[in-house]
Amino acid sequence: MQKYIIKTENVDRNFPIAGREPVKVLKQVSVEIPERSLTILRGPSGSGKTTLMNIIGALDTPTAGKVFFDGSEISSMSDAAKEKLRRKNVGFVFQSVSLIPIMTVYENVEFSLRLSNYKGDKKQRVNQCLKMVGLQNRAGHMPQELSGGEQQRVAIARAIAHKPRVVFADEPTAELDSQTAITVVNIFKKLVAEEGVTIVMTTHDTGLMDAGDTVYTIEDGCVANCVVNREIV
Amino acid sequence: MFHLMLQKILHKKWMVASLLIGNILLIAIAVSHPMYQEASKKKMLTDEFTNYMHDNNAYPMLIDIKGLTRKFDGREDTKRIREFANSVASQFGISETEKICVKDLVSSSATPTTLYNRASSEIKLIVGCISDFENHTSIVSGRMYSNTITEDGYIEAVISQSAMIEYNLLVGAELDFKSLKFAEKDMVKIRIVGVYTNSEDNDNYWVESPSYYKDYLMIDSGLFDQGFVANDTKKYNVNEHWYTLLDYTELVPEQIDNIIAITEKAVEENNNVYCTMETPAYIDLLKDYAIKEKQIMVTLSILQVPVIVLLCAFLFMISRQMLEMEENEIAILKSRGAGRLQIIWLYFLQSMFLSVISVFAGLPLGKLICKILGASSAFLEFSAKRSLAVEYTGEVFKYCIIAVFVSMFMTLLPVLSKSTSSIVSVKRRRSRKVKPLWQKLFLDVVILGVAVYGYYSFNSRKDELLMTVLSGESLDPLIFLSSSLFILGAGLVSLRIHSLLIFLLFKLGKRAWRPASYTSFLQLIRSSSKQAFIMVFLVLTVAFGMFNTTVARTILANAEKNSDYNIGADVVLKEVWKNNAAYANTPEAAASDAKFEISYTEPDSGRFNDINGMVSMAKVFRSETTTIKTGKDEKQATLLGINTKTFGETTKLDRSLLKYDYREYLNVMSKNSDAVLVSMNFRDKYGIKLGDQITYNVTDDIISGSGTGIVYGFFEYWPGYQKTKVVIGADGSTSREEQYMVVAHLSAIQEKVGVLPYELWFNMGGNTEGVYSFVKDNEIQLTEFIDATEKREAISREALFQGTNGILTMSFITILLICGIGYLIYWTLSIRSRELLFGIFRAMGMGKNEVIHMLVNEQVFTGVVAIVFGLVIGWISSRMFVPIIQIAYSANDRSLPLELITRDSDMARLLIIIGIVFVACLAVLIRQVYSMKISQALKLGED
Repeated sequence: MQKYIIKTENVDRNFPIAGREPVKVLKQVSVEIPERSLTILRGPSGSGKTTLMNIIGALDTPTAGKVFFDGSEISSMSDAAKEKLRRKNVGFVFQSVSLIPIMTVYENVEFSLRLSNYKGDKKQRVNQCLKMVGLQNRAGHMPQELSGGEQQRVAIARAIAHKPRVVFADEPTAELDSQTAITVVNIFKKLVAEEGVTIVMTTHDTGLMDAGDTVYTIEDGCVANCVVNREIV
Repeated sequence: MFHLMLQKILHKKWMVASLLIGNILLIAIAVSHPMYQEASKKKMLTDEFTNYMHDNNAYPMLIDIKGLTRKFDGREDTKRIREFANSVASQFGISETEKICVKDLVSSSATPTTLYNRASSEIKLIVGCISDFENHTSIVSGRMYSNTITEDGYIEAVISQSAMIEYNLLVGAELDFKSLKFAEKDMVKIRIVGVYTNSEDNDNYWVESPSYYKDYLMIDSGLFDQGFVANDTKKYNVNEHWYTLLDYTELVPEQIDNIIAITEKAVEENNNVYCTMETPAYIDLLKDYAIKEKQIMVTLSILQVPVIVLLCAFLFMISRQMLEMEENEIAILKSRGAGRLQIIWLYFLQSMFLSVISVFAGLPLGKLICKILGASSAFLEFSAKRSLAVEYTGEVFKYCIIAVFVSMFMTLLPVLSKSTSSIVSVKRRRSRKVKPLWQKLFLDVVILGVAVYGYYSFNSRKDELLMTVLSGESLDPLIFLSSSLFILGAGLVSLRIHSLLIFLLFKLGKRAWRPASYTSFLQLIRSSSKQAFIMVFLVLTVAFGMFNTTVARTILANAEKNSDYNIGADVVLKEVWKNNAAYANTPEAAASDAKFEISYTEPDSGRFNDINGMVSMAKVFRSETTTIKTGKDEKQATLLGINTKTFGETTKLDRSLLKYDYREYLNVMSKNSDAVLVSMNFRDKYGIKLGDQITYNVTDDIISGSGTGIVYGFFEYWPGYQKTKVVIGADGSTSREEQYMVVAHLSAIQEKVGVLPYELWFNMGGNTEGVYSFVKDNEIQLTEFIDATEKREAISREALFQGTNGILTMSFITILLICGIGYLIYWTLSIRSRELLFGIFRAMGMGKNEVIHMLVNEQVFTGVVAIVFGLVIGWISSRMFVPIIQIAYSANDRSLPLELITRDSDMARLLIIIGIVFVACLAVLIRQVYSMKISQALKLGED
């Protein structure tokens, strides 16, 4: 039977605007993210996919509706509990460069281990992750010395280093050329297969549709379509 | 373009506001410099004259021309003398306060026709007159003379009180001058109709006091001219004395050279037959002033250098910060085709705009600063009573323009390099970590080396420096420069130490550091150049702050302490002692059988016990010309005759100066009436041992005698004892001379030599008012009066001390202000620029408190560490340079070892203000972190 690690039930998200009606970014959104799979949230700019991802990633709180992470409701959790959740079980990859500029590639990856209080051999794990993204030779470099694609791969390595259950990637390929974008998506696939991690990524790139196991199309704040390419059992 | 600039300004209003504050301060301080100099020079000059008047009881700005109108052309001579007197004074361009003409007939013998107990029938009296006499006198008895001859042929005259006493003349006395004829007709007969005195106590009109005219019979001026000077009466030699009193408060320093030249020419050229001009007192005063002025102005100028440098650095820092924020805009403008010159022009316009505002705000602020400077009585203390007359002069505007140029240069300097930025170079530069040029070139070490060299070279010739200062030169400006360089160099070197320290700390606990500390250390290590500037700024602020307070407090406190020590007690006075020496030469004395003994009449000192508020009083005999004999050696020394008990009660001596409390010495001495204490330099010179016998030989004007004493102890310091004295030779060279002192029992001296005039020393518990009123109420005549409180106040009023205190206070406040603003800006910007980063940290699961912990950690390791460095550097630099710098302040009366004084309250003030800034930063920081929406922060990064 398919296991869902994240579920949303009728999630609304309104952004208040001074003196005007609040903007309804998400309306009655209900999605289910299967575990150990690559789920893609697609849709045009402004459709609300990033907002949805922020909500399911415990970065934002819905105006109405419920969000469940591995069975427990996170929409009503305290800030501290959310922080703990993010630290232990979640990894993020953002659209633009999200590396810490004062840390080397190695330190960036290691930092997420520090944050999650990783008990295992940190050095080995960092190297393992860097190897997974093909950057084991750039460990000592500063982020500014890498290309955009390389930086994004470091971000991925960092996102998975502490063995989170879910990695959220917000438009990770938006600033990359299509060749590099495919490389990144392939890494994601490899991670799902090898690390058993769940990956949720947003994209407006229709060329990457097929890559996802599940693809939700978000339009104007609503789920317009859900396609399951591969079912994970 | 102007529109674009205004938009830019509105967009960055806080940065622009800081830039404006820096600009205004720079201009205000720059213009306050000439304003203050001008005003304080003027005040100094006036003070110089006022002090002279106070000390010498004589009006200093006095032209004194004396002439003798000869027989036969009296009127012509009179005219020439008057014209000469007028011409000298009129060339000065200062208004006259008084012009007095005294005329007298050279000397005349009078035969009193009414006699009162006089042995001799003929007395020498002078017939004279003084212009405007009636308005400056009051009649004690009788009435004022009339301006006509009486019906019975008498000329009416008034006499001074001393004439009355001296000649036993009374109102109604009549005198015949057989050799004088009024208008060449009748014999002069004078009737005394009144006794006069000066109508006011401090009337400058009385250049010579009424008692000086004790031989004068004062008659009406018109009558005098009519009888003895008019054209047809040329028979008598008439002394004519013109006193012109000029208003010295109108004197401005620029006139000095001119006045000296005119006066010297007048003195030289007109010392001819018909009149002479005395070399006036003001010549020396003005010459002394000119030397002093140069010395003080150099010192005051140098004192302002650090604050101006810091202000420039501040402007540079703010401008650079602002440009860093605008780097993207510049790059975009460039990519849209704007040329480098256009970018520079934009910033130039902005700078001009700010400068114009700053000039309007800076000029009045400068004036205010000047007034505050003038009101400073000590470091960070002001007295509302003191004020300075401040004016805008051409010099002020010159300084203003220079300040505008400097501030524009400092703000535009970073533009020059940043204006070349393109989008590519901005990104490229951001990705590179550059070491500052000064670190690469080891400029900090070089600067520190130069400063330390300066210190050693100056320290090794301290005595030489002292002599230079004493001969009227200003202290070598390089000394001040060295101290500033030392602070700067050490501040920069401390950055290296800081980096090293942080690196070691980071390495030491790399595994153990929690994420927040780990990140903050990495931030400090990897972006060290960013916080370098603010750290240097903080270090310099604290170090200069500490150095300034130490200089200001030390110089004043030491000068005051030395003054107190040299005086010895709260009040020292000496009464007029009468003696019978005059009687000794009279036939009566010679005729008397008993051996006539010359002696003083000791005034009753017991009456001083009634002084209000007096704690104790001591009789102290002091003779600076006593000869001390020890075996074969003979040396001049000061003999101090004391009563051990009252002396101990009346005087004070810092416990740290001697091995034992000086009262212990007094106790030892009290055991034997022949016991004496001897200064150590005397012991060392002549190899005296305890128990040795010495002989002192006291010589007074009328009495001399000698006594012996047994040496009971040696002292290095003693109330009122100056170990060395600076002697200025005839050629202006200066040298130090050892001074010796012997302290003996007053009773022993009185027994062996006689009762000689002694001083009375008072312990007034610090409040000397009582002595003044007592002396005044009891009309006690004094030959000496020193008030320690008054002396101390006079020191703090001296232009050099006041200027130094004022400038150091102002620098301190300015430094505090710019440091506060600078730090606040650095922090807010630093946080704002890292908002995305905080978003990432938060997204990764870092808690708000951890982010704050991280920032506080950073603040502690930049701010707090910088303050500690600043304190250490301030402490070291004070210890090194203050002893050298204070040479400029306490040159000739330094007796005590220098004590460095740093008031904790000053440092507390500094630290409290920095603390407030820190808390403010922290508040901004906490607010920012708590109000931050992670998702928004991350979005921000995407833009």
